Amino acid sequence: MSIPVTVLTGFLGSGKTTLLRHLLTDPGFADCAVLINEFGEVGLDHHLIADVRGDVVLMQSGCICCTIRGDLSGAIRDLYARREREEVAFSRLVIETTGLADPTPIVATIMHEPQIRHHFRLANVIVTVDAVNGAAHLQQQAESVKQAALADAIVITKTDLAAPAVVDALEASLMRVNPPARRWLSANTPPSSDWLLADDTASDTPRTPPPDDWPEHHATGMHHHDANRHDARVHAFTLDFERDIDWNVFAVWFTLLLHSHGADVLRVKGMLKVAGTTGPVVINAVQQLVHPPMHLETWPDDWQRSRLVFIVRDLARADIERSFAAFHAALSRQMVQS
Amino acid sequence: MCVLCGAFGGNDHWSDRAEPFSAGRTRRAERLARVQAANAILGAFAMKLDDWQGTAFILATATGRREIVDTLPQVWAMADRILGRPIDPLDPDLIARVVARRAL
Repeated sequence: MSIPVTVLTGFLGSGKTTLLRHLLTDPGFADCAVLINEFGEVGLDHHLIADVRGDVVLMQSGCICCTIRGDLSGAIRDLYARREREEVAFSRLVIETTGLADPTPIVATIMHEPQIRHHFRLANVIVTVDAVNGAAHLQQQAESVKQAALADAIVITKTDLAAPAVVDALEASLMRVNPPARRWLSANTPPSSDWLLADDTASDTPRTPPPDDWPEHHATGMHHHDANRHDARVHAFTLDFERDIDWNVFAVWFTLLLHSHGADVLRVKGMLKVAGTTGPVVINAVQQLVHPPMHLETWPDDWQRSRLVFIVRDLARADIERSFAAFHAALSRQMVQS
Repeated sequence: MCVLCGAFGGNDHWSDRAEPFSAGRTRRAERLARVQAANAILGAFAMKLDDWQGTAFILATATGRREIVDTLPQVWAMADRILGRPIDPLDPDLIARVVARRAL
């Protein structure tokens, strides 16, 4: 069974370190290994109980903390080797990224590095956003928008320091960039371990279907916003498909879409009702990185149809919808005829 | 690896993991269905895709050029290289051509 990986990211000063400190000391993460950039930033001295070896320490909580020396893939492989030698024990890995990082290369390392992908799987991406400066970061910093767009869960920090109207505006921006992400508003109370670790892309439990009640201006685009704002270039929408999906046509179309527009298709997630199958096929992609599609046994209650959520940059919903509808009709019919 | 031809086993690209969804069809049949679907697009550019041993694809042009690639994304990348421009599934002209070819 592969080890689930949580990627923790967030812009500089967004409260990521505070959340990390919580992670490392909360007994709810006792079974975790946490890869951080450096020990100094989190100030953990009085929480340490053992220096396992050099860059790995055991916390009072039971959590393993390790710094990323050199490259990330080397750090993950080294941690796994120590686990195999029974020097350390953990069943989940949390990776902190640097504040300015686009998380996509880290996701790529987990999903495609030949050694790592056999032992680990990406479970979720958690992003911290600062209530005071988050809206400005989203407007001015492309990396900040990318982080928010890729998130499965967003922790909005420092809500006690921002006016309610500012927090509301930030939530509205996040809702436009990534409506399906779970959000936690945190003044001084960090979310529980259960909340932080709730998503797991490889879980075979039935998923909650994507919501269909987004306000229209969130769902349909950004033409009325300032195009110079980074967050105005990114928007989300859902596509519903009435017909059962021909899996092979979908695979051909989706690989071509990601090949030609992958840099701007930031996230795609949802469920497909594939012809000839009973349960849903779960789709989850981060740019060109596509999780192995999962076929679940059962659908969520009262929900048996295809729906995909797209989070895109500078792409029009109508173009993607028209393209898939045309290709699916043409290619699946052609296959029936021949 | 196949001891007769030296070909490595199939790659594990997500698009090749269709067996669980295939309603009883074989992995090879699913793969051929993807080749057929890809050809509906590639045909608009006078190119043709064939499966090779269930482990790779051969992309051929009308002029006889043949390229071996491993996965669907590599098929599109090679097609772009041959054409000298990207194949864009959002291009209305391409959509119209693929739909028109369906009607033939």
